[in-house]
Amino acid sequence: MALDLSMKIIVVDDFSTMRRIIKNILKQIGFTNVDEAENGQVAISKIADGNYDFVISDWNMPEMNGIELLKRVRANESTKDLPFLMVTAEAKKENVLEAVKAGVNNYIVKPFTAETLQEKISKIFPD
Amino acid sequence: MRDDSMKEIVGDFVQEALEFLESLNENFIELEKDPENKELLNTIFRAAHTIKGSAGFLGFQNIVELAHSAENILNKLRQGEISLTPDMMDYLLKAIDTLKAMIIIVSKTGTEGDATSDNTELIKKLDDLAEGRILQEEDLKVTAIENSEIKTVDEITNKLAHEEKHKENHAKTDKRKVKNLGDILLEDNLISKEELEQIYKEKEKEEEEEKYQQVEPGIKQPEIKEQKPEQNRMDAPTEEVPRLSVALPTEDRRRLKPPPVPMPEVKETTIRVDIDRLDNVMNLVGELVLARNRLFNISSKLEVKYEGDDLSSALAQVISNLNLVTTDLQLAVMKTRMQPVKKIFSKFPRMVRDLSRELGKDIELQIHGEETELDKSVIEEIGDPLVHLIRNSVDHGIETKKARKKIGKPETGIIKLSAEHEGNYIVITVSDDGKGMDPDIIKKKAVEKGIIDDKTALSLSDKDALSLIFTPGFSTKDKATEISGRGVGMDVVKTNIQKINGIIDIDSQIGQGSGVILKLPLTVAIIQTLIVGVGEDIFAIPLNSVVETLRIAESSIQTIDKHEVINLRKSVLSLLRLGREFGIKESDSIGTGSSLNQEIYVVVVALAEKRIGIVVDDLYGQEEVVIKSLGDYQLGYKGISGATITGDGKVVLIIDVASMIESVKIR
Amino acid sequence: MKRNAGSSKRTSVQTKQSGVQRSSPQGYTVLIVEDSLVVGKFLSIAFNNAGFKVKTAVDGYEALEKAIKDDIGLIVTDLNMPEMDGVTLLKSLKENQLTKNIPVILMSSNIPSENEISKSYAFLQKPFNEEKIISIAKKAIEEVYGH
Repeated sequence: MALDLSMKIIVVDDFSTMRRIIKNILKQIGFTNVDEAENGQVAISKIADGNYDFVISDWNMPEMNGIELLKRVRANESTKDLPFLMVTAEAKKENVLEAVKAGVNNYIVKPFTAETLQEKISKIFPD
Repeated sequence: MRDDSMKEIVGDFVQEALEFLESLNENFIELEKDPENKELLNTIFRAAHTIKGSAGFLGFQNIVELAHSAENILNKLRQGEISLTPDMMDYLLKAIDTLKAMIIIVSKTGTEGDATSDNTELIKKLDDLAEGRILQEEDLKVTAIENSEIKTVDEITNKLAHEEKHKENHAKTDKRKVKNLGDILLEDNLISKEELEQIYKEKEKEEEEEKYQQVEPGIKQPEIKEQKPEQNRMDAPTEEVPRLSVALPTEDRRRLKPPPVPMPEVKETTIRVDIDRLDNVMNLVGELVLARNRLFNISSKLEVKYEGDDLSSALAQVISNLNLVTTDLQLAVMKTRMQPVKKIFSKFPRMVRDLSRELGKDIELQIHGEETELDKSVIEEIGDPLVHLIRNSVDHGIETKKARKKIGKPETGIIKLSAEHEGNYIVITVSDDGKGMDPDIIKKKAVEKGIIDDKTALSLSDKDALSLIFTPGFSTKDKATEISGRGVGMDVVKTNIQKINGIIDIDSQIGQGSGVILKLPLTVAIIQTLIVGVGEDIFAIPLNSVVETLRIAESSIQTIDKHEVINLRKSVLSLLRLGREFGIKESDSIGTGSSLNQEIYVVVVALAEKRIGIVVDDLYGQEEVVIKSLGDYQLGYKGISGATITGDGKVVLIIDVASMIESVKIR
Repeated sequence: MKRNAGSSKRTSVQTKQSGVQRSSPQGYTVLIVEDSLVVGKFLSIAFNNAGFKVKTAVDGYEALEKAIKDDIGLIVTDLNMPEMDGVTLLKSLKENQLTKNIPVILMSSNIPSENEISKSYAFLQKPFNEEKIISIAKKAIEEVYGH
């Protein structure tokens, strides 16, 4: 479960309080290189120039939701394997399957604790 | 001010504020469809203003600040200084949610707490939006000049495709074997290999289709091109990217037709009454009804016994008067407990909006008859079932925009929620014009789950097949609950409805839509019943379930497959002998077929479309009774839903028709 | 404190009960006019605690009716109310013989214009605390009814 704590992470959510909470939890786990984006467009633009290693994004956002953001990230050569964790308010089967199709690496249901987040991230990066 | 006084005021504040916030949610959705409505804007403004004012007196500064920002925008809106944009709506709704959360914290702890102390972002956004118009003009000027530097999302994604220098860093992550959600689900046994393969197949198919149709990657592309592109200062931190709110009709809002739902004025003379007090009055009236019944009974007997006697005639007259008054009193008390279904209907527009946005569907919720009134306890019980039914329509009923377009349906799906009086009942319907339910698929699933066997499945009509979804066990998933979400099945919905003596029915046409119909009694505690006798015992059957009564000869009873049935106008009616069911010694004349010519009574009861005939010895007539729960004594006794005391003082058990029907079907 | 020694300078206030004077400010009934239930309650409790008798109204019409019918010594009213606002209420009170001498304290979260509050005894900006409103109320009563 060796998580690379130097990973550059970007947190995407239109609600700043949520971004702050996630950032804090990431800090608790040990990730200090965390950036934020308040919507899909900004996220894409940052990802384009930013050398991110991991994306954590909310599903439900106006204009471009998490799935669309994910699809666009996946549609590009250089980011098609960029690890992506989806944050959702609940995990209904249809949604989960849609996420699988879109190529998400894992999902987490809010509200969540630091332990859960760590677990979910660890699942993505084995050994 | 003394602590307990303060507590009382805080309690009032919480109650009042939550009520306002609920109505605000409702009003906002209305406003979205009718943004120039002055009256609506005023009502909304006043709500925010009142919340702010009250919070101020109680020292809840954070609530005051947030409410003030909202009130500010609302004031400008109602003065016509700015106009409503989708972004503004989103943020205002967010403000409402946040206020609600803060007030709930107050209700639990008596103070604001510090978790909510930072709404500065939201407040800033709201304030920015309030200054909206000016910002937009300035930005337009600026963007014209800096057009060349602006990156559209298109350009960015293209850029990504050609970017070489980031390959290294991305390669770092690539090298590590990163898992997919599909892999993880497989690992954790949350999904089967077949299901996963199925999904990938579907994905491939979708991608193929897209290629052939030459749809540009990302359906929302056109929308983004229309927007003024954001200025992307790469070095600026996120917070400073200006939010350009251009009022464009996004796909979600274009097709919403404004239904003329009137906004009734909330200013009435009312008084708040503790619900316990009303329950008490209801109880007392119930007792009064019972006593009246007794009195009436005795008086009638007296009249017969002392025919012509002045005293007994006088008594009869007084009782007749008492009768009228008691009935009126009963109705009046019932009315005090009645509330318009609007109470629960009001949260649905917002729920449908949020859900459909999340699923990328376009759905319009039409509500009819929200002024229809129901007993408070009934309203409380149907809340959850209705949520479940509407979610079903949104999730499973209405298809995606693409799918609908493909089959020639309008892209906007419609969900209709209506409530109306029908005699002594309220009928609530939840219907959609979605893809409907396939009876064959349902039958198959039921067989898979072991609910019915193949033979039964074949003999089931399409209508009966639909009812299978109400069986316990139908909706539970095989895998862990994480995927099945809340796991509230249709069987729970049905149970809840039956708990209040209601009936639930379902109708559906594949490809056209589905509808669930709830039939609920106006009052919970007092019902009309048919009094029947078996041997020496007396029972009451709720009249709302009685279809008809028959008098037949024993000889007409046939036995098929160990079930007793009769032929009723060309269809087969299963029978249930009440005496046998409750182990009562039947009177000698009826029973083991000794006298086939003996006539017996059959009470045909129905629940939804299921019917059975209950065999009894005697029919005694109709009586209105007050249901008294048996409490603990009732546990484990299927078939009995309560007890009552009839007009002539006898204790009578009330039959639970639903479980009677169940027990016949299962056998 | 004004001395009540039959001096002609004392203003005789026409109350419903032909000039009955109370023994203390608290002998007077305060009419609280406020459409917000929470604020109304806050004020009622505050005045009750201070020993005053309290009547309430949720809008201008109810307030006018009570001011005319009942024996009100002081009126505390919100400015911003639906149907009839505080300024209109104030005007109506001043135009009516039976109520024109009852001191009125106005309150609002916004600051009104001079014009609007000219006929009132005082204006308080919301929110304010208990002590403030009670002390101003006592002052108003002392000044108008003379103690």
